[in-house]
Amino acid sequence: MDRLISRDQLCVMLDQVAREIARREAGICLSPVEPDGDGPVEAACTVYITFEHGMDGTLCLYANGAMFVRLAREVMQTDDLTPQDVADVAKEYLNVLGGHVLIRLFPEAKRPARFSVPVFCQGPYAPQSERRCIVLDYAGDKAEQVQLAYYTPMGSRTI
Amino acid sequence: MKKKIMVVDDSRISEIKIRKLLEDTDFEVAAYCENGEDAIARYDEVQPDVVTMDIIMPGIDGLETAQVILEEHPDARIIMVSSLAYDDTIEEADRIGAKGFLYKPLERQPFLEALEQALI
Repeated sequence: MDRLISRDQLCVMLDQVAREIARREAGICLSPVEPDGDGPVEAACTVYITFEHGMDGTLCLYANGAMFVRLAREVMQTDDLTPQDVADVAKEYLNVLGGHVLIRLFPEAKRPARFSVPVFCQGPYAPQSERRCIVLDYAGDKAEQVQLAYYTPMGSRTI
Repeated sequence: MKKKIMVVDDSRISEIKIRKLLEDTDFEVAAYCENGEDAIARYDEVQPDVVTMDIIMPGIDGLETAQVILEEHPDARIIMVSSLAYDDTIEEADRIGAKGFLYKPLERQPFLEALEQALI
């Protein structure tokens, strides 16, 4: 079965995009760190998107509260934040990240790959019936913890 | 008098970010529409100098919205904005008469240059 991309290629690309968008969106420098266990980081919150139409799988961003709050503070340039502000900024970050992932995967092809509206939820979310195949752990430059995980369904054609 | 920008985007964060980018410039956000239908309905009332139009939105998308506005207002200046746009999307935007295309995340200098270019 032809795969869209190899796991290693997708891993490199996700890493590049995640760090680039964090820097450009909010001036946050994410540094890769060694994973600390097999499960999601002890996440205060999760924001995730589900790919469809030409790419499958779910991309989850886990982070402690400090990271999401800092992201919102930097983007909105205010300390006066509501929980809705934090959630909306996190969703927009993953929206932008997801778009850049697809553009890099399909730079010329006219495949209509899309992704769902980002969902923000409390605690660590993991999609049912999908396996974790890529996990990227980061520390923010102010000791925030972030994890990006890509899940694929069994029999995935993506990787 | 500052030039008026209408921001069309289902994410309110985009509108907030654009307001920040436009601080201390000759532009200001005159209206925010969270979907295409609202943008079409309010264009006459707002009479923006430039519209920033997200592409992927619930309901009618940004391309269709831009097309409707341009049919009714051929002088409208619309810059398409998106985090996801394939080559055919950008080609379509050009074909319908959009004045530019920018990928998110927007950055101040390229954004201001695109606005100025759209006004030429």
